[in-house]
Amino acid sequence: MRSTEEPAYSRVEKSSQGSRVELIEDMIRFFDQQGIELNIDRYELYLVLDEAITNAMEHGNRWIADKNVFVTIRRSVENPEHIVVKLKDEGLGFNPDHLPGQLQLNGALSPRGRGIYIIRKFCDVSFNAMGNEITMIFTEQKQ
Amino acid sequence: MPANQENAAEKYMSIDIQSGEITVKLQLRRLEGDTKLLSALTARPEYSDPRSIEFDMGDVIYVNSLGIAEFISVYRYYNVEKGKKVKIIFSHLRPEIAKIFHLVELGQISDIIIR
Repeated sequence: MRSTEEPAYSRVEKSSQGSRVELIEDMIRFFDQQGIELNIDRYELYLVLDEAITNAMEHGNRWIADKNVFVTIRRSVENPEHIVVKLKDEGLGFNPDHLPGQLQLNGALSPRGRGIYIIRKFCDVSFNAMGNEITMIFTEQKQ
Repeated sequence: MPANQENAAEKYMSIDIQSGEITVKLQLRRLEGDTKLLSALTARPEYSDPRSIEFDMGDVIYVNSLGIAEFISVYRYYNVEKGKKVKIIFSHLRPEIAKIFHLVELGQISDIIIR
């Protein structure tokens, strides 16, 4: 996959439990086909993608089937070791400043926030101002 | 809980209790928040005051944050809402799942044992 502003992978998916799993597996397949080895293992990559897609479909699109999730994957132009994954939903968004940086005190018992916590453990994360697009930057494993 | 809902929960697991120790054998491969663990455990009065609850995870190959939240709900129900001292034990965990459980600090709760 060449470094370019144009995504090497682009997909639009409806919000449903079935399409959620299909989308995760399709993205994993893309990484495999491209021979991209990240510095996290396949289980961790699957989990991170699941958490991000679930957030987009559940909290963003409220599982409304007609609402889409837009996914792109590209290699960073600025740093070719970086793989940039973007997920955008059609929800109302949220204020990303309100996200906790990590689980709060007594956080292991917290009923919420565990998904974004897991994502942040495995990649660099940022949101657009509206809060309906997450950008995850993964680092490719050096050969 | 209505009988049909109870049955729906129990199709994912078998529950055994001996001397106050509950063993929940999970009979599904993926835990993604729809297992109704807490509903199954609150369905019967004999499960109301256990000393420990062991989740046998031998068949489980994947757990996401919604699955983890189900265990947290069970822990909170017994140890926070009902004020009891119930140990939560995870056994036969795959290493990749155990790693995530440690990552989200489940192992730091003294009453949760990962083995």
